[in-house]
Amino acid sequence: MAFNSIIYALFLPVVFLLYWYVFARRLRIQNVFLLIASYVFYACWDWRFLALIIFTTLSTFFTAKLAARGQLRLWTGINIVVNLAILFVFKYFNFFAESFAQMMSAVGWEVDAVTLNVVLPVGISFYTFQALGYSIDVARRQIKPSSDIVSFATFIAFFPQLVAGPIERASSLLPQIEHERRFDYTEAVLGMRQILWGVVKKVAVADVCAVYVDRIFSQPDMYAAEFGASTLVLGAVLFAFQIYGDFSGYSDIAIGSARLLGIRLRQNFRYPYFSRSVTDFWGRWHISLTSWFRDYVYIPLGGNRRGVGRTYFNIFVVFLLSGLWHGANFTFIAWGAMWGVAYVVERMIFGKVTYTDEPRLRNIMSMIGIFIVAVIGFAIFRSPSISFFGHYASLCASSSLCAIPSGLTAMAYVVPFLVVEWLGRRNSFSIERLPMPAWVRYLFYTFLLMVVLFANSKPETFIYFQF
Amino acid sequence: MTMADKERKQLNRFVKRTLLACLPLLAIVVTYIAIDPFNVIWGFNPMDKVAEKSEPFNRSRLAVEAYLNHRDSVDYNAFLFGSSRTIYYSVDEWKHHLPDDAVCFHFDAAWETLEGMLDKMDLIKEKGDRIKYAILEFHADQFADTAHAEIPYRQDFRLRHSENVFAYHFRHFMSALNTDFLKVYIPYLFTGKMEDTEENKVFESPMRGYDPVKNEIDYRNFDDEIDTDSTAYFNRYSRHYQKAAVDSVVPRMSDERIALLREMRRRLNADSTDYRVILGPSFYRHVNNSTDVALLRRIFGVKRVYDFQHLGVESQSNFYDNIHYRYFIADSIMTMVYGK
Repeated sequence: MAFNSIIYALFLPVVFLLYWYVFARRLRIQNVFLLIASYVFYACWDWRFLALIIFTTLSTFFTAKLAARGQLRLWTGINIVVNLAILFVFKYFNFFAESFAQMMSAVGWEVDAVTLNVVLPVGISFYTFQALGYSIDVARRQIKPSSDIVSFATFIAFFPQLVAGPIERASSLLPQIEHERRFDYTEAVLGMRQILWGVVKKVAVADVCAVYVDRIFSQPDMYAAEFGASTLVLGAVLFAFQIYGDFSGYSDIAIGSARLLGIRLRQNFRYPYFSRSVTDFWGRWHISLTSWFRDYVYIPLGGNRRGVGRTYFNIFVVFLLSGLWHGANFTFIAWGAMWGVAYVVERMIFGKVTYTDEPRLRNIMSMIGIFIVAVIGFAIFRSPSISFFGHYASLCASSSLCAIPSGLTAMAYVVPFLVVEWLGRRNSFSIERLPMPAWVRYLFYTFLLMVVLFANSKPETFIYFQF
Repeated sequence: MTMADKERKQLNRFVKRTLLACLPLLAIVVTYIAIDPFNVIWGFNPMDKVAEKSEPFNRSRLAVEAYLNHRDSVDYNAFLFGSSRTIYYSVDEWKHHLPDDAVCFHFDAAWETLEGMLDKMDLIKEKGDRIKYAILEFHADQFADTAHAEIPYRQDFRLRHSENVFAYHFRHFMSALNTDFLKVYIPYLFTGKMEDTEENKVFESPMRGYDPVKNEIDYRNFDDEIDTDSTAYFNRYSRHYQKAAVDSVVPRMSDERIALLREMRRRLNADSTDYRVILGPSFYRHVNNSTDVALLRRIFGVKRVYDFQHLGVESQSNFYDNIHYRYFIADSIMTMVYGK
């Protein structure tokens, strides 16, 4: 069930009403209900993959309990290996088998690649990482293992963030599930507002851009010949907005939906296109994944404690893995590598460039610089292969950049969106605070609703579902 | 007042205010249901639209209604599946190439999708009819997942393959709110007249005639126009012709598309259908990549797949616009395909 489907528009109100009107103040039943709702939500894609979630839930729950009793490393290790093996089989096996066969073929050995005819279960990377985070936290004795299987299963499968995050930490989400929730009017209003803003991002920004991006990336030669390189550049820029609107829109809907149920999820995006450095960007883009890699990969690798060279190496490895996490394709690995190099180079030249204040207009040049790097990165990300990206880039270099590009109409949505984002950059989401009379606020909601309805976009699947 | 009462009061207030905020949306939904622009809620007789000699914007539905209306009295067993390009395949011409028992029917739709073609095969099976002879006409863009990006409000009438009823109505509802659609539809709603402008992609162009039994539209009025004054015709539709010096190769089709094609083959094989798969030409030279053509041959069989993607692309006089090739091209394709 996708957030931008009519089914979800019916599902969420039904869950909300039952959750608060029927099951409120009965924690156990409320959690059972939430778990059933989450499984129904997931089963709408493919009920068979529920078995995988249930398996991950049970293996993580019981190995954590066993680990807490003794042989901490053994049980945690078993759970990590088992879950990563599942992830590998479903997500990476074919990629590695085919790549191996190609590599062998290149040196003259013909090998028949054994591939599996399997479908990638939606959200497997997200819930697997969430479960692994829990296992490691227990092993580090940062949290106690959960003793309530229903609460724990709800933590793994909580529907707003099940298929595309934010990847939650047990220390934050599990206690909220284990304790009684009270309806909070202000939180619910903010939740609705965040959902509305998420839908605007998805429908009026991401899906509008997608129409042009799909066309341009499917026929770059034709667009370069007819409209010049400027259209290809615009295609890459629009994809940067598409992926941002798509993924951060999803996160907003997820966080807003959870807020309606009295649960707070972590912020996943913090206006990344207003970043002033590479380090700043990665503190604002897909925050839950970045911090996951920081805590569970970068720090165990030694972080910055083992000298400068090793720090750079660790940073690069984390970015490479982060690229691979997105999927089994060399473009994702190249995307991760590109950011790894950019991060290391920036650190070598300027040291760790972080900011405590919000960006201002005087920072415009550094923001544009980082945005250009992001656009190049996302062009690699969007390309079906490295050679395609090479061809796309060569077309950009070989034809006119001064021509009026095709697809400018999308900017009619992108520019106002950017303005609203800029004005609201001090909030957790742009329209969090609306200091205006109630009737103006309602008019504003109506306006946003109309923008969504009349955006002329074609409903697209959320990009991050494939990860 | 207890804590629980206080909480319940807040909850009620929230629900009321949310409903209030949703009132504009409700008004739009009610208006949509009342008007039902795609005729998917209240039903209608598509033949009324045909009487106006303008094809309705839901040609897929017209085809389905025509089939359902006549299948009791006509034993259809030969079907032309494909997009609006198959309109120019004359049923009488096709019949020359088929055995005497063939009874032909145009089962096409504007911007037909692979799902739409499968839906139609499903319908034939559901009604207990057999597909004894068939032509499957494909256009390269049909194999792209973004096939409908150009005109998002073009809709399949029947439920799409594996689409639930909510999604089906939601799709139509969102299409009805498309501003390009509204620009053409609202004047029609008030005047009852369709605008045949270059920008109009809601209504089809005026036709010369329609045969409801064969579901055959007669667009030979275009031929008449071209024969009378080709320059005037080509100038009138100049924006519909994009001359291309080289091929635009569409990306490899997705696994989802391939699965749909395999499903089609399964259906046709189950009926022991004598069928041909035609890859037709387009003036703007959107063509399948060679890997996909080879794949199509593997799926349907080398002897059944005919690649005419480059036939006549050098001259616009072979086309009515970018993608629709003329009657005489379709005739010659059938002659080559059936080897007569």
